Amino acid sequence: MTVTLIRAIVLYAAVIFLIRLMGKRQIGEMQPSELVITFLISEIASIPMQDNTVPLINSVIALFVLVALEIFISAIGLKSHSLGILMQGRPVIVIRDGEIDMKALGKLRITVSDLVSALRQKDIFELKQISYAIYETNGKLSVLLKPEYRNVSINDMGITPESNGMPFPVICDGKTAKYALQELGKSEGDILSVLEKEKTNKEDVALMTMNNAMQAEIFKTKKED
Amino acid sequence: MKRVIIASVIFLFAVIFSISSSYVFKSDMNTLFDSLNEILTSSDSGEKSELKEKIDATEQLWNEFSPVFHVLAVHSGMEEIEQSIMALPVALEHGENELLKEKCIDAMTQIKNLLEAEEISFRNVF
Repeated sequence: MTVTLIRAIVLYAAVIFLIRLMGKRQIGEMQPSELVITFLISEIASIPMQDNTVPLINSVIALFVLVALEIFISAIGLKSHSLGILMQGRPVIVIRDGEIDMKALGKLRITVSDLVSALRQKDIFELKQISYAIYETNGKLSVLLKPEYRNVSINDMGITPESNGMPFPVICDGKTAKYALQELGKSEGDILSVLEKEKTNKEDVALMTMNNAMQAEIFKTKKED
Repeated sequence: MKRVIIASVIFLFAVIFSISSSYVFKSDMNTLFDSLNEILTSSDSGEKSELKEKIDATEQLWNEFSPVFHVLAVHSGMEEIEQSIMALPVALEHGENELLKEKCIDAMTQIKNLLEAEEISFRNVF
């Protein structure tokens, strides 16, 4: 039993390392090859965990090779457009100028009903609103609405808003988030001066966000009576 | 780029480990095979003391190699070889010459099977 425990720890470490090496992507955002590799990793890692007679190194080597190849192929795909298309396919336009391209749908083996369902999931219930719809290589549908159906933007209204950059969470649960300070180019002293003005202790802060203009929002920890 | 470098390192490690482990496995298994073969050939003609020496040497070889074998090959295959080798001194002690030969042949067959499974051949790859 202890052997199983140690094997599980080793495999966990190997799998976490390899998944981190592959990069951050949600399942729905993965390219087909990445999805297959992810499933294979879990499958290969489970074999020596279930069967102690299988050498651990066999699975670890297989995992290493699979992930390394996946990284090589994606790196080459960045340089070589044709390899990228070969490995990941290319986006397919299924609605062009408001017209459904039945030939493109046929190639993707997608029915009109599937397309309509995917559009509904994007809160589009009328085809007449659509200018272009494109099936991306990860299977997601991107839609460009006709100009008359698009949301009004600040730019359309001719307003030039002031931009103070993104607010970063500089304190979480009473602890300073150093990466946020680095992003903002601020120091711990800057935060403390803001807190002093607000007469708040750092330890009492649940969340404090701050932008480049030092505009801060503070959410205090709710104290129990 | 950092990822590609790490991937290259782990790929290189995998390739070097696979090739070197395969070489070590084959070489050690062949040594063990030869040692068992010596026992088999001298089982009819050899002296009991000479046979005992050879069996002890084979046992020693097994004890030396088995940790590496267990890392590289399926453990069930190793257990069969181990059982056969461990039965050799018992068979010699009880004068069971036929059993001694049988156990030698069993271990040698198993070693041959494992060596064949390590070969890069059409049958093994596909």
